[in-house]
Amino acid sequence: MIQINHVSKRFGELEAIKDVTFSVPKGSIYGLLGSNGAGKTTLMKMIAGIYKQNKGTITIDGEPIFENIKQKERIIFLPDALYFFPHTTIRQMADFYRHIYPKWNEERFYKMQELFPINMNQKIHRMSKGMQRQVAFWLTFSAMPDVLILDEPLDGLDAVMRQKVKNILFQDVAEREMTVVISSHNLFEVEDLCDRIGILHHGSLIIEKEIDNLKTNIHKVQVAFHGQAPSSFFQQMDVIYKEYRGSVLLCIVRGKEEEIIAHIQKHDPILFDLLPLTLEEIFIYEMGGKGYAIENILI
Amino acid sequence: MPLKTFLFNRGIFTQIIRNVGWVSLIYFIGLFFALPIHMFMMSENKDWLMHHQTGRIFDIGSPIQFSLMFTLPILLAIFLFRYMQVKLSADYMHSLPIKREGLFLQHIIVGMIVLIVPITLIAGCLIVMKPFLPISLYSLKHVAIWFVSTVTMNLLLFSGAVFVGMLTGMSILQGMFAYVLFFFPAGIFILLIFNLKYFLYGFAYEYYLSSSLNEMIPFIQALNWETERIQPLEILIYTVLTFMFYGLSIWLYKKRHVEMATDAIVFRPLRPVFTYGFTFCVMLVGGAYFGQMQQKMRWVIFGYVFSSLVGYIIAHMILAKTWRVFSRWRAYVGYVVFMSIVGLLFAFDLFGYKTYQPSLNEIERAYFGDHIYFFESDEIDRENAFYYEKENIKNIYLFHQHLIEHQTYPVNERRNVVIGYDLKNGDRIVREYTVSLNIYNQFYAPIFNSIEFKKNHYPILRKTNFEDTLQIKIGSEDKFVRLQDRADIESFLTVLRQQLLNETFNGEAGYQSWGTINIAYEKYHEDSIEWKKSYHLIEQWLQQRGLLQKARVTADDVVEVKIIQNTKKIPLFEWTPEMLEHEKAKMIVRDKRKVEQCLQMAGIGEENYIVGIYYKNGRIDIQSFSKHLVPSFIN
Repeated sequence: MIQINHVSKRFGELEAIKDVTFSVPKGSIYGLLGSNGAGKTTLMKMIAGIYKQNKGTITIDGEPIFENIKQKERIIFLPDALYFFPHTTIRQMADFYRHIYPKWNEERFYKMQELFPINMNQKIHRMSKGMQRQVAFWLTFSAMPDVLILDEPLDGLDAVMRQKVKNILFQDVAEREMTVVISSHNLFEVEDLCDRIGILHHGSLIIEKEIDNLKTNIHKVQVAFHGQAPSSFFQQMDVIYKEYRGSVLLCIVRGKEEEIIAHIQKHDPILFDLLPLTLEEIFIYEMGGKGYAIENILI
Repeated sequence: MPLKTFLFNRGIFTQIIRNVGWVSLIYFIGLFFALPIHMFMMSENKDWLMHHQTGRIFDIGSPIQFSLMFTLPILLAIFLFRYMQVKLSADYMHSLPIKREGLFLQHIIVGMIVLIVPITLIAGCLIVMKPFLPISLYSLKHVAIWFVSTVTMNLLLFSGAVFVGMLTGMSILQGMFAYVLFFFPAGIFILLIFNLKYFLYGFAYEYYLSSSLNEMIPFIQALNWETERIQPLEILIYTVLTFMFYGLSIWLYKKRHVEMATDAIVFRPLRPVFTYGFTFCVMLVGGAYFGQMQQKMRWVIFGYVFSSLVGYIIAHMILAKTWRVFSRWRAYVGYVVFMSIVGLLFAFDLFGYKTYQPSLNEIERAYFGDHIYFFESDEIDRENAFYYEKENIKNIYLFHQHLIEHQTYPVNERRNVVIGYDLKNGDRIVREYTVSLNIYNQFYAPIFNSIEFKKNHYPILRKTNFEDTLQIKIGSEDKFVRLQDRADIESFLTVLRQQLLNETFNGEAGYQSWGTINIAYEKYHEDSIEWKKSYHLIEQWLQQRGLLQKARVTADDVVEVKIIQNTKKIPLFEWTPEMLEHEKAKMIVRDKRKVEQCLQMAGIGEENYIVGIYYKNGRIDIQSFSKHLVPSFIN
């Protein structure tokens, strides 16, 4: 369980993180979204115990993380720009990890060779960016962390490799109750991964939701009536957005599915459709009221 | 388990060794060449070897030894802590489950091993190869001293470089700051002294520029080990400093924010200290440079303004890591205002330094000389330049008072004056002035004419027993007489002492001398006294014994004297016999009586007339007449 409580961080004049609070339950995957410079990386580095926050607390299983060796042995942070010691091979890095992380699983390391078809005596610095990322995942998964913090992790991986990595991730979360924080500027990339999502904008957490909750509570409705829609139609319904396309009325409605269907059927439409929304659409409508233009926040 | 991860981690340890092990290798190869190989090369040639038979191992291959000693520890510190200065590796290393103390300790322990191992191996080599050298070049004790000195200095420089590494986030600045750290304490002191002399009239800057300043610079101390053995106190101080640097480093490291990698100064409160400290130092360098080159106050001020601006801009460029910093001029104006106030404090002497004089009856003894040397030196017989007699102390005091009341900055014809007091309460006061010649002479005369001055000045007047006198040589290289007869010696010494005591000051006439009087005592002691042309008692004594012709040149030796009016004011030392030939003579003197008069008055001093003396043996002497001492037949 990761608990982030009123955390702020400044870099000189710049306030990078402003009073952020959220928690990640054990065995869940948390998606941290936001455009470049929103503060995702800073927040993650604080969770990983690299940066020290100016205000607030960050605890993992109730213990502050900064300079806490016991907790840091259970965490691995995979940054968006990877670092390996100069001129080392995969094998040498694996030896290093073996000495650093007590849960290192040598057997798993060898087993995973099947998933990552790279010669382990090759120097990492000579590899392509995508291969280096595979090496990073290989080492990370072999170290068996309880908490995994991934900063833009899927950049540079091809579609097949992405799926492999996602599979291992799911497996570890399911089997070992690994807790994952994953950041992205791309909603589609994490839509199928995360249990919970938070959007960071200019250092503040502007929205935080369970994905299932989001999806069950917001709906796209297409209806058509003879003539104008009756005025009572819009009453008793939480309409976030509406637009007419010819005689067809398109609206985004918040509420329970059955209640909405029942309400609409009552008004006897000639056409009625209840459509699912993509995550992106949900955010567009959710945040419309907050005065943010979604394209500024998500690319 | 916790101890294991805290203090030692094999993964980290191997990684550090892999990263910096090469420093050890280079150090070993370098020293192996500088010492064992060098010694065997020397052993081919006995003379070469004998030359180095001092037992001081620093004396052998010293350029290599010292250049390795002064660079490798600092390079090593930079490479070891490079991980903190690069963002990616800083993030990575601090994401690992190792406490900062653990990281730090492992890095410095590996660092120390990397430095100590090659030194130990070389010490071992020296011990093993000793029997194979044709002569005994050193003893085991010498090897031990060499080992301890080398290790101590290496660790000091290493720890200092580690310490500054904690303050900066840039490796290149870490290297620069490391050298600054060790030069700074002495350097800033020297700079301040060089600058204060432009503001404090009478500031005896040379007094403060003593050699003890060198002792504050470890590099210079180390170079001394070629000739002097390291002192136990030195080892103690360096070791204490080393531990202090480590302690400070770890304290700072725990406070350091990882994200500050690549920043010039990691701790924000230190940034203004850096900016203004740097500006101030560059300002002092500029002031000292222009002051020294031009010797004028307006150039000093120009130096301050120009170089402080340059320093301020550079400091900001370093901090901001861009050259576009010209918008930050406001704080510079503040700096200028502040420094102007400080400057005015000195200019108006609010500390009363320039006008301070102790009261006359507080003075135990007074110092008067043209140089600071005898005031501070304990080695030389101090009585030489100190005055105890009331009358002399008062004269020196009055001179000082005059200088305070009439501050002057003469350009030509000046003398250096150092006045110092040792007070009854043990305080020392010292001032240094440049004084124009006529004022100098005016105050110098009564001091010069005192018996105490003569005794201070002429060792022969302080000596009481002359039984050990072997001989006296009077004259110049060409002509001289030797007194070896006991009676002659005693008679001459009596006259000489009388002559010296009688001597009165004739400062404006310059410097005229026939040669020297050299008194040789037993045990190779000797005493030399200038034989001034004004020493009539000596002349008389020699004349009475018919020795004068032998002792000095006379009119009989001279063919002619050519006198030239020096209208172009060409300095005496620039005149050559060829120039004498070409120049039109004001007068050519051949008359013996007049020639003698010319010889009596010619000397080295002001060049109103240039005097060419043509001897019968073909020699040509070029001297001058000053305007105060010209034969009467020249109008």
